Amino acid sequence: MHIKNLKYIIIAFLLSFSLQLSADEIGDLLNDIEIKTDLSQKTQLENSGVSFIYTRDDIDRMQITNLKDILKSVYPVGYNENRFGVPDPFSSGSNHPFMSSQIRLYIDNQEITTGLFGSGLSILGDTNIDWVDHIEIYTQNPTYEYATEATITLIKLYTRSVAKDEGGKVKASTGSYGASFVNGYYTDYIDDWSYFVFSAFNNDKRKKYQSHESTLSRDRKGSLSVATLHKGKTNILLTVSNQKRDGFVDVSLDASPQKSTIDSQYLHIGIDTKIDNFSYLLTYSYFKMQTDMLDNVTPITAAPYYGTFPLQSVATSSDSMVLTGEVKYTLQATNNKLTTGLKYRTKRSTWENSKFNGISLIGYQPNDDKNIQNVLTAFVENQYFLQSNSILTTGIMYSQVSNAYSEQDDNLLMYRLGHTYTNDSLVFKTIYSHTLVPLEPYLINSATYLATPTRKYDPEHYDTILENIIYEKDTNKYELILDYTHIQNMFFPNLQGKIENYSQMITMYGANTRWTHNYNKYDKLFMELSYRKLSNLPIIDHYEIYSSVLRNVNTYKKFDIFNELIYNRDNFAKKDFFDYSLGVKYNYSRDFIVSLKGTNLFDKAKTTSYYRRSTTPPFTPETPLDISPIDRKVMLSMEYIF
Amino acid sequence: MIKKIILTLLLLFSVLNANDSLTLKLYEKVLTSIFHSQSIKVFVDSDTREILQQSNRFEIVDTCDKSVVVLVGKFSKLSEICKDKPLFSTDYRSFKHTPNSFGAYYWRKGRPQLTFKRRTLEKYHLSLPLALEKYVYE
Repeated sequence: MHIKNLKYIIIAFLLSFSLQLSADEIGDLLNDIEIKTDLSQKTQLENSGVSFIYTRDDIDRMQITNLKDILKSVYPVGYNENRFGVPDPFSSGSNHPFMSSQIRLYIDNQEITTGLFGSGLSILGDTNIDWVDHIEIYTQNPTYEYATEATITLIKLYTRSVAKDEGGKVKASTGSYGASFVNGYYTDYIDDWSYFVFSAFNNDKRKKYQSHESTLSRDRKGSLSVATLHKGKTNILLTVSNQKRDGFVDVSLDASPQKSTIDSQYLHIGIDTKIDNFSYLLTYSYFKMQTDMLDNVTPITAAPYYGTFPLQSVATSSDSMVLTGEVKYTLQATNNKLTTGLKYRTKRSTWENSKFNGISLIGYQPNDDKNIQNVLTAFVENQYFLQSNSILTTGIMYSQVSNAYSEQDDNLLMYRLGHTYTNDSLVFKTIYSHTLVPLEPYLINSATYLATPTRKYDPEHYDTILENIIYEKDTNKYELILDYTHIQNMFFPNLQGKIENYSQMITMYGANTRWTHNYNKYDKLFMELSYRKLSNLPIIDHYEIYSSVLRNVNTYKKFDIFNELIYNRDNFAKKDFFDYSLGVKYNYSRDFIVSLKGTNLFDKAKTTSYYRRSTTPPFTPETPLDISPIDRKVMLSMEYIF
Repeated sequence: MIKKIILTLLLLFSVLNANDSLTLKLYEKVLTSIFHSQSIKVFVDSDTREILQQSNRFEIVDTCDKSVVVLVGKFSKLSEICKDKPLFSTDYRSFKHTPNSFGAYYWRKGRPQLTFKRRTLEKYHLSLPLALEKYVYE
């Protein structure tokens, strides 16, 4: 045989051999596609500071069912609940209903916000998120592209869609304290449109605590619906929430209310679309809240209290709405990506009822039962390729915040400058940002929450510089984050619990190291060590926090096993806190899954201090209540996919 | 300089589409084993074109009459000539409701799925390797 022909035969033989399929090859390939098809690779913001990405695979195998499951280990945000039992990571234990407005929450491209409190974290922070495909969290003022208002942390929840999840799922869970949850979704096409509909009903019973003669409860009962419609680049989002909460310690002076309830109804509807280089967005949200608190104390009628203190009863009822419109333009040139936009937001709130000890706080002055805040924002952000592996990011945002019935108007100029350098295995990110945070609408003119309501409050100033170094080699990823922040005019509660502009400059610095190791395509180890110090604080002078996270996710045959240990220590509590979670998921078939998850199994998770005082003069401080926002609990779930 | 930037963007693009490379590998394995050819003439839609054009196992043709197989998501807008060709779908509903669709690769229930119709395979005298038999829907 001719040598040339022989060569062809050998090549043809080798090629035909390469086309042979082994029995498991296609199955393995489908498994690999399932694990590695991570939609965050398409949505992740580039050059946007420090990010925490939770893929569908992470969410499934870690059995993440609500945001607090992840926020508790997200540096430097963490998870905390305020005196009302509402998710509020930046709460300092004061009576304020919400202090975390700078943590902005988005579903897909639309911000979930309320006219009173700003961030939608107060609504979705502890509700079910089984409708989510993946989660992206960006800290340290990540981008102006999404921010209509000042943003320190950006949380983006991406809904599931027909592209991956055509069909439906139902899930039922039950567990500790008699808690039960039922939810389900369905996604399909109607002509050229695709839709996704999710509904959840929760009876979230939680651990009870005793304070004096009262039983403290954070139980929550209600429903949540999330629906989307997609066609091409047009997205319509509808979110409806209806919650009845027990209000925990509420504003009770001795943290022992006889009764405390918070009922709320929330609606968000919005549309966003993209035509050529232009993006458009229009959203509307409505929030209605009723609170009721009774405490067995006797108000002091003598001066200077005149029956206003301590609080025996509080009853409020409010309506608020937010209307947001924006236009963005993106220009992509050879070595530039420029995004610019104009955004307008109007927030209107009305207090129908606001009675403290039976005395109404409204009706004394014109318009003291309402507030209108308008925010007009313009921004420009540019990414410039200095070299092929060196990107300079610059951004400037100007916000004009005006309040209709108050002198509290602010003109806010914010800016950020970043540089990203990459080579084969290393990424260096350096970011400087200047952020200004004005008062949220519920605080405007508020004699209840502000020390001097008639004075104009300066916005908080945050100046942050951070360095983020990422090194990836083989199956390992190492990350170092160093940050330094100056905070001026911080809104800080004084000894009477009312907000003042804190006169001193607070300095904050932190160091964080992370290591992710993939044993193989199924098993993953994550370890994190972090340290943070805040100086020049009132009362305690400085606050030092040490924390670490150890997380292991394994798959063995039909079982997914999840282990997580979170360690916290600070110089205030001077105690070691451990939050250990264990989850086991049994995949009986591809369509029927049984899961068991225990959270805070040692019952030693980090606690929050809720102050207590005696209810008679001189209102002596009592031992505070140290209660963790993370309950010790075990949940059993079953899900069926169809 | 501009070349470098373009190269970087292309590299970034290829990294971002790491998932697509696995999908391409699946198409290569499945379709070459069914059509017994090193280079298959295929008519595709824009979504699938992005993936298949990275492979030398596929020759993308402009008209259906030149193709051996049609690989698209929706069949409704195809010409009659196209509809007579063996159709491989990337959409579950198109696969289910189109008689000439012999197979499909799509996402459903949160996972990628591969399915074939026995009757349509027989109509086009296509035979499956043993490894793909378990994906046949009778």
